[in-house]
Amino acid sequence: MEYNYHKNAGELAFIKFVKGLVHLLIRPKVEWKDKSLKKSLKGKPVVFVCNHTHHFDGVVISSVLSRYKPYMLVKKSWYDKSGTGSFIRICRSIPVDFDTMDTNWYAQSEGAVENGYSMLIFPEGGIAREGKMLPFKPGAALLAAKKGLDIIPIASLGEYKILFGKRQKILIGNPIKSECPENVRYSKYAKEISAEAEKQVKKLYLELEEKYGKGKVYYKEDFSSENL
Amino acid sequence: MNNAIADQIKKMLVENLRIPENILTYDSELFGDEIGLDSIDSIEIVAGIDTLFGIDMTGADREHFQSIRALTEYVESKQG
Repeated sequence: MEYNYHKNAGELAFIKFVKGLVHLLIRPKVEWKDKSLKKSLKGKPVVFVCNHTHHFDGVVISSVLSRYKPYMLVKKSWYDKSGTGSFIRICRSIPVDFDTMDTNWYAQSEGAVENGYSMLIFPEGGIAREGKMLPFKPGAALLAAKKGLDIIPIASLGEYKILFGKRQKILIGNPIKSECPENVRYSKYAKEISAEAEKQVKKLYLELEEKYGKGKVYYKEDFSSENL
Repeated sequence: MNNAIADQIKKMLVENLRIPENILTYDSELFGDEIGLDSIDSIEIVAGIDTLFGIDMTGADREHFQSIRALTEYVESKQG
């Protein structure tokens, strides 16, 4: 299926408008472990991975990362919705159906990367509702494994207070290099780097908690007791 | 079974999934102990079949993925 990755002028204007709204209303506080990455990542497709705590995660994190033009994996049920879905479809998003063995997302993601776009993936596959971070699904890392894309871990802490209250804290970590050895299956390597990405996101989240106080979403977790 | 199709599939599995050619036969159990593929590998199989034959295996029963022979017969059935 032909997929048009490049947005038209109207869609780009809408994406900019959403970005402005996010910064006005949510006021994300973004920190980088390595500030030099801000420039060096531009024009170089990577896979951003982030923990998933809220329905706003997608629009906020993709707005924060807008200069890298990330395509975001979105649950098909949201993508297909009549109201919200139309806005999601305008923004750079690729639907994923977790209920079937949907693999179209993979081909579309490969296409996005080949067209110079980065990917933004929430590897938990859903919002953490039980007080614990969900295990990262390694399928997200397969793209990085096969294409040799760096994985950039991101942690997001906060409750998305609108206009007032504590700002959403976002910490962008150091790249995880993806260089699959020749004699190793990509799926095996994907699991390894996925596990490393999960560990790095937890480390970043712990760092945010130590600086700004414990978050409410992972109330059953104590990341400081893990061997991160 | 169409051997030409089977050979294309075999080549795709060897190249994309890095399965050693010398252990892969038309009847090797791809998802069993013999070859040891898993659900992540199935993403690549579906993508590979689509690229080679223009056939979408999304949602196909697991039985169609079990061997090169099974994949070949599935492709043949869809080609008509």
